[in-house]
Amino acid sequence: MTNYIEVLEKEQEKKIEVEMHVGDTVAISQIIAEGDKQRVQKYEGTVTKMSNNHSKKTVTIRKIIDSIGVEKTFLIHSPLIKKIKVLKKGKVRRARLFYLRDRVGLKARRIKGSNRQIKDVSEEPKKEVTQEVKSEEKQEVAPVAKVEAPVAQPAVEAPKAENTPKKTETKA
Amino acid sequence: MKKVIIGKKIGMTQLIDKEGNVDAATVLKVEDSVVLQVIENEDDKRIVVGYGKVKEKKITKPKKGVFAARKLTPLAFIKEYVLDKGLDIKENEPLPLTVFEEKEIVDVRGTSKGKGFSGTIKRWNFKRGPMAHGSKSHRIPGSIGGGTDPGKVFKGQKMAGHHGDKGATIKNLKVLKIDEARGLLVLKGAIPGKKGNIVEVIKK
Repeated sequence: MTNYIEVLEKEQEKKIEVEMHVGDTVAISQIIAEGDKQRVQKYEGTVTKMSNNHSKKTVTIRKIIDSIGVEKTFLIHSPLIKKIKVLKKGKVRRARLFYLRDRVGLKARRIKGSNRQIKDVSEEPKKEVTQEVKSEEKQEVAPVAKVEAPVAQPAVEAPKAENTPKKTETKA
Repeated sequence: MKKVIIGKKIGMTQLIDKEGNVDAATVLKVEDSVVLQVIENEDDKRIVVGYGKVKEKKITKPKKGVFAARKLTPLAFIKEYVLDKGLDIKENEPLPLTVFEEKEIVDVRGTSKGKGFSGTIKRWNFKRGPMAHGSKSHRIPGSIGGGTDPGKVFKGQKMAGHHGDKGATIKNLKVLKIDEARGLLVLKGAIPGKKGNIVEVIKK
């Protein structure tokens, strides 16, 4: 039995290349219709809540406008959302940052703790990018080596090699 | 009735259209139906439809005979519908999904979810009594009529009893999507009954 609801929802999904998490500072560009005209509005703030479910994926973004907290929820797979950009990566220990609602003043903006952390965060993306590139290169190189190996070795040996590390993992 | 389709409720989801509008949607799977007979009249067209999948041993012999005469696999129910004359419906074929179009307004007939023996608050939307200040009349129905005159409780008095699990029609639902390849019909809003229930989608 195919799950038709899942199939329908997957059909509606857009390709999202941006990876974001709770605690990140994100800018979302959304199309807003004003009468006959359309314009793009940019909304920037911290991600306080995410719900992942195929096409129903939403992101709640909190922002402080004139010392009043504003939370807006976006349907990520909506055609109205033009662009999502992660400006800053945050380090949080919670999946829902509702505690920000009780905070006042500067504290409310500094969710990622001290300034030092923010500095670290600003450096992190660059590092990650380089790491990703490296890992990709490794992955590309690795299969080539694997392809060479099975030609010479019988196929029976390969499963054995796979089994042994699993056992060790369970013991550990 | 002018058009009909028999489907199975699969569940609910949401559909996003090109303009970014989001609609709550019910997904129906249209399957297991066969037109047994088409009777052409002067004004209308009557069809006899078999529908609903069950184990073969649960179908009575006379019903089996109806299907066996047409060399079809037996189905649970047989029902007659009066339809529009112009519809292209053939015998020994499933009811076509194409009788409906997208954005068409339809009615859905099914069986509502059973609620068991329910009190007056759930069944008839009565108000409850105060929960505190010494009150003991929390969810009781209250007075059910007069005293010596009329000396009886009038028929039809709203009381506790079995609720749900009976025929229900939801009118004016919009067809959001028709997926012919998969046999899916997607309607806007909710329809009666639980998942797996058989419902009729009709257009009057």
